Amino acid sequence: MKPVLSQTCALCHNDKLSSGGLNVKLLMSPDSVATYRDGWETILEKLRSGEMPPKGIPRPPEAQMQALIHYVEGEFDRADRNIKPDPGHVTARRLNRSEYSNTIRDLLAVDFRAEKDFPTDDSGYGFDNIADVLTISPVLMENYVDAAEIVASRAMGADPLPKKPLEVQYHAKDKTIRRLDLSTIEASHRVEWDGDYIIRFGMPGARAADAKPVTLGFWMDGTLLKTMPVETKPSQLVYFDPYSEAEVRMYLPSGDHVFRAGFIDDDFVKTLSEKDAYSSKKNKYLNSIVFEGPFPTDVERASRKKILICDPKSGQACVEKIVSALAHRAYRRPATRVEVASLLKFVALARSRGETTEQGIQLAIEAMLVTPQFLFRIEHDPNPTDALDVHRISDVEMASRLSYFLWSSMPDDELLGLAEAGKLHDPAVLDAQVKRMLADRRSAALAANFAGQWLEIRNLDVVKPDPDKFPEWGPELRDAMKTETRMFFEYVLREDRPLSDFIDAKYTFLNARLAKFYGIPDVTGPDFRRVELTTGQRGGLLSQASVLTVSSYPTRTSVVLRGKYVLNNILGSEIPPPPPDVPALDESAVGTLMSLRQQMEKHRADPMCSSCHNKMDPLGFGLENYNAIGKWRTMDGKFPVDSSGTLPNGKSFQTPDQMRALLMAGLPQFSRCLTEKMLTYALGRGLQPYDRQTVNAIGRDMAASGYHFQSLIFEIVHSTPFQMGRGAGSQPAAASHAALNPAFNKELARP
Amino acid sequence: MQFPIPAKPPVGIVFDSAMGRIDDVLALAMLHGFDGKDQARIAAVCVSRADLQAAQFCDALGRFYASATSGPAAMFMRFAPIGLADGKPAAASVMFSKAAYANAVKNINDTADPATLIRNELMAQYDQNAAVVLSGPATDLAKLLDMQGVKEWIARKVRLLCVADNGLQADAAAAEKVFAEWPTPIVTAGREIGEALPFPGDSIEKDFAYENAHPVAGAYRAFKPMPYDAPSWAMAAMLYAVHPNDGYFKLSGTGHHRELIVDPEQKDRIIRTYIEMASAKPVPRKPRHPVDEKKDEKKDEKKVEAGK
Amino acid sequence: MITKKSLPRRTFLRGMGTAVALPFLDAMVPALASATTTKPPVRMAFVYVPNGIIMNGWNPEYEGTLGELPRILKPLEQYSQDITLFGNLTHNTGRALLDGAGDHGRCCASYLTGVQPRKTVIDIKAGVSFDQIVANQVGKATRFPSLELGMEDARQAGDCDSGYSCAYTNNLAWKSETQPLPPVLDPRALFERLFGNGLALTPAARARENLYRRSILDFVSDDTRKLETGLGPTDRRKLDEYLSSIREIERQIEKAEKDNTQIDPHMEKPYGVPADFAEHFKLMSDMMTVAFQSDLTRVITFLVTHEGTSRPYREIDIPDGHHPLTHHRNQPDLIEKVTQINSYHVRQFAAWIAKLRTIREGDGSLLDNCMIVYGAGLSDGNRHLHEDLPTLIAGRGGSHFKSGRRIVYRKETPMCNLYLAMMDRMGVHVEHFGDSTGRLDALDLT
Repeated sequence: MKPVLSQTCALCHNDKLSSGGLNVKLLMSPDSVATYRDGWETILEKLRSGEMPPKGIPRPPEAQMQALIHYVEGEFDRADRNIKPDPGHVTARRLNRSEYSNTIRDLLAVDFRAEKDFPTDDSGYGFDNIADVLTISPVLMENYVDAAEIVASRAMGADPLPKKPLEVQYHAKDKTIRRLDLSTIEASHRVEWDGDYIIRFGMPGARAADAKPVTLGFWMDGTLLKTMPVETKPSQLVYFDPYSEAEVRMYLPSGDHVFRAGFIDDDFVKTLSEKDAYSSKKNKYLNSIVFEGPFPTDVERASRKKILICDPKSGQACVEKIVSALAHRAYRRPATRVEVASLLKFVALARSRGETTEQGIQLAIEAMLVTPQFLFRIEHDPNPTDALDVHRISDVEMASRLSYFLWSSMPDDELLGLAEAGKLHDPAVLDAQVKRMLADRRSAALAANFAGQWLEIRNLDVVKPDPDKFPEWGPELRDAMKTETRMFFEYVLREDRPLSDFIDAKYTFLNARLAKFYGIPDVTGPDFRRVELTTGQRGGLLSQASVLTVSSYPTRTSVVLRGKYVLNNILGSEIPPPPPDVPALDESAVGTLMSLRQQMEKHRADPMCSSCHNKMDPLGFGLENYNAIGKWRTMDGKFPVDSSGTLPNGKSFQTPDQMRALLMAGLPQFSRCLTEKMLTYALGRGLQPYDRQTVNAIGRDMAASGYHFQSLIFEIVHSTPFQMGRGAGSQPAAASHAALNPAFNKELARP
Repeated sequence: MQFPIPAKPPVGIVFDSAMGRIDDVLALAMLHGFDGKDQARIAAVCVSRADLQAAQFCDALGRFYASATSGPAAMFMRFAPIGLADGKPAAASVMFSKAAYANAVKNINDTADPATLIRNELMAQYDQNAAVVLSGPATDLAKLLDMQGVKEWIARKVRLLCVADNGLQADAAAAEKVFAEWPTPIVTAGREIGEALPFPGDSIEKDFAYENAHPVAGAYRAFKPMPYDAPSWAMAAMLYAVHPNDGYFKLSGTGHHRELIVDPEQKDRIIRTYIEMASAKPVPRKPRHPVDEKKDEKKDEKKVEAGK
Repeated sequence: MITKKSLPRRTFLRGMGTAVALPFLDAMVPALASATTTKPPVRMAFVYVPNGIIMNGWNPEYEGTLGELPRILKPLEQYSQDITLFGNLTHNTGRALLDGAGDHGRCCASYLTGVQPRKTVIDIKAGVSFDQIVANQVGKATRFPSLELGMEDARQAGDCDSGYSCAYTNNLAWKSETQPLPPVLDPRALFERLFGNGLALTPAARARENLYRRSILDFVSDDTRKLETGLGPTDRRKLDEYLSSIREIERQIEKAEKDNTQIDPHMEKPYGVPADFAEHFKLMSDMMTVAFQSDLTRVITFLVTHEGTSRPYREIDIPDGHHPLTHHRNQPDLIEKVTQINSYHVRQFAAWIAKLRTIREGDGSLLDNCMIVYGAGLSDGNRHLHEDLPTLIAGRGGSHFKSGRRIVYRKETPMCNLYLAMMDRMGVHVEHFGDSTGRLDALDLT
């Protein structure tokens, strides 16, 4: 090792020069690997990626380089093996918004959207389920108390339906309708009671006599509920003002919803100008939605079925049974007799005031939903102040960890039952459960929550692309982008595809809208389906419009944002913040006087900038063929797009698909990055130095088994930090934090 | 990246002087010279006499040295305010009354309260990487010691207090307080130091000629009729504060308070350093790299978004 | 039109699509319920705008009595006798002080706390913000010790400012050094919080609701205390946060029961978050007015948009993000855009001030009894400067202030000195706060 260091490295990293702050003179001895562990980790990363030694420096023979890398890796392993496995301590974790909503859904079959009512959860390490970061404030507590009342009341179906149905109208002339595009309207409406409703769509106007019928679609919160054909030609009757209505009767769940009505695949309207589109003489168009209801429905409230497992009128024994069963499921473990007794007091309280037993049960539910046993996931350590007391977590605690990891929700009866029977720690049983849970519909939570944050897709709801530059942007396109990535992720997950599919794949999921946007022919209809990709234009996450949009600015693409995105989320490298005095990009000049690439060249010119930008910029350039909302382009203003680049390891590419092919070589790095992120998400805490062993071990196993996605899930479930726990120690967790994040370590370097 | 040798910036100097003698002006010039050569950093400059013109001069001097910087680095230069004692305005010093140099101090509100300023600047220094040079009454430092929590900051950040015995007696109570309560070692440059190490007046004609209207030269000529040599206490204190281990001076005594002793063999070297640093030409500032020189993070950060 | 065929209890909450709340029909709201003295209480509010302000559109050239105001402050010119402009107030704790990049995280977290926040993403630590110190005392007399409002949702994913947690840029008020108080963003949620379902409930129904809530909260507090005994220190800390939040609600219920008045806000309940900035601001400020007027609280912090935000302002034809624009590097067209955004904000604020002026209270107006601070945590957003922070106070703090002036203090004067003076006017006396060096003087009538 010494010869490599002194001949090759010391050329730049010596006493006088200390490039990047590194002087190898101090690393010459073997124990430096242990003392300067973080520094060596960084060196290793750069050696592996081929960044160091850089071009121009004579490189030692490959065999020697590999020997050095293996030596250092060996030293790391040796050091790590000597560390006693430390599973870390996870603080009591309160349910975040999506966990709360899902848990209410699974506990009581009530649709409650916490995202609308509760304040945003703070995130840490890129995820909003980190135990230490989730705080509770009086406002949130008020929200919980209010929510408990609403949920309990809805669950019991407590409010009687109004004697007569109400009518609520949303009409363009009242400006209560939003027009999304020429064929689609949208209204936000709060459905007060679960029940059947008649929904009427008003359509003034008529088209030509030979006009074809259109399909009217009705969506609630982005999900298509119903389609029906609608005639657009003039009716036989004479009208001064042509007008017709379509009507549907269906069950609507209570809550705040966004309803949309639109003509699907309406080619005719595209031939019209905007003025004509709303002219009754030239077109038939939607301009109102009316909700009439609620009507008594045959649909038995699922929530009552779930709660009333026997008839409470039959006596106290039944009431006890109901409350006990509810507490059991709400607390995610059997409730003690004392706990059940205190809850029964609420039933008694209600009855003492002359209310019914059902109202009493409702009150008990309200109480349950506010207790810490419900709102927090607390694990018990036999010795909470002893940070060295490592122990296996109980089966019941494992059940919650599993369900919140894979479903962002509470364990179901099967899982909890096995845990209480003490069978869950049996590896065969555990694996079978994981398999079942992954196949279950609820594992879509991994796409919504894990992928939504890992890939930053949630930001699609807040980005605002400039409507002048990107007129195609709209809620429909945005939702389609979200769905594509979500379905893609779920597919890779459920079908246990190799992780390489994320980097490049020959398929994706599209509907007509998105396919048109991508320029892929022969895809019709609003539903999503798998589409095989025949050109290299699209393939893998980095070609999906969602990813490309969240890594751009409102008015243009950003090579650096995208490069940083790929580095952080795919390759797992951290980049420090830029130095001050960076000159601004002349935005108006981009595309007109100089292409973006030409302006970015300044990054290369200045050696102070190039050290980081040589890593970031090529990755961003390779994506320049996609504009700021992910559409393929070959011209950027006046300039042809040049998406070529050279990676730090010297390999170069000309097109995005070539870049993706090169990134495939970084599959181990990607796997590691994904492992770290998913482990953070699964554990609910940031990774610490003692987690390295786990990550390394998982990396080795993934390599051996071909990097299949489900293997990663199983690996995490089997890992030490997931299966074991320990006390927090007498020091608060904050004092012992020394994250794996190298940028974080810089702060610890303060003299 | 956690590597063995992180670069630490040079010592940060707080200079609090009455600006009553040319000696103080030369010391300030020398400090700028050290700053230009990266041997020290100017943390704060305070005037302990309520002379607005003195504050204006200090500000102008700062701009004079900054004039060499241009381009993007110039946009980000932040001119730290000058501290000025408040109270009954003192008689203007002859050094500053004639000339008018470009400065941004129109009235007392364009200056800072010295104790507040020193406290704020000390908080931005690395631990044990600052020194305070006092040349004049200790009023400001006494106020500083009385501020909430500041003693701990001083103990943490300041290595050394260097006092030039030059006007201390104007506020005897403050001097007593400071010598009693100051938490770091104190070194005094006594009366004999100044006489032993005079600044040679002929240097004004030679070494400051590169600039027609050099503020320091102008002040020197205005202080007394030329030619004259200026005994320097403040410069000695300044030199020791910046380079305590370079053998310029010896120390007498032991313990918390010590005195500078001139080593005859070092006299020439000391005078040469005085001349070289006080007359140093303004040095253009390069854009800084955050990792190496953290103290200057105060001089503005720039976020990535605008640049890309 | 919307037709209602019947009106059961809950449909007092009408859906109106993208509704706008009706303006105040009647400025005569019932007199303060809990006023025990004849003098109306002093109220305090903070309206915080991010990313700095173009200072030469804000600072007049003169000191003393206000006359003509520069462009950004123009909307307030007609009320200039009610405002006081401050010069040279500084937050040293927002500066880097060895922590490198992150001025946005720091300036927002230190704005009301006067301490430099810990540079971290997870184990956040700032300080208690001074509005909470005031709220802890003064808030005993009101239903809500304080209100925290905002208008912008935090970024859902990704990091926030060079290693500083998003908690620092999304919150102004801090209850403890580790617990920020997140702002309420949705006007409907705020409405429900302030006025609840109260208008539709009979007194008996309200009493029932309160009884049940109190029983539940009692039960839960007991439960939690038992739970805590077996837990480690970090877990216990989390549950302590939970317990203190519960106590807070219990206190509110008690207070509401004692007062036994039901406030009629004379406005429709907003349906949700309006897309238009001005509309959103108006809804929030209308509710702040009622909150003050009815003495629901005396301390409000309003984080208009979160620090470091990149929100574009299409409402005034600016499609570019706010934050990137503020790094204008002296380019005139970018400076112009930022100036327009700054003016737009002040216009909304001025409309609120106008409203507060029209409400009679005691010998003068509600505004006279308020100290409404409008300011930013940075002055020059381009160079990230923390000195000469743009700050003004609207109102006289209960006829204390000699307003209508611009007062320039010495450079580096800590902003916390102003806070000490404000605390005095609120009746809370504290010797030191943050990095204060004394009390700001020259403010008062006498």
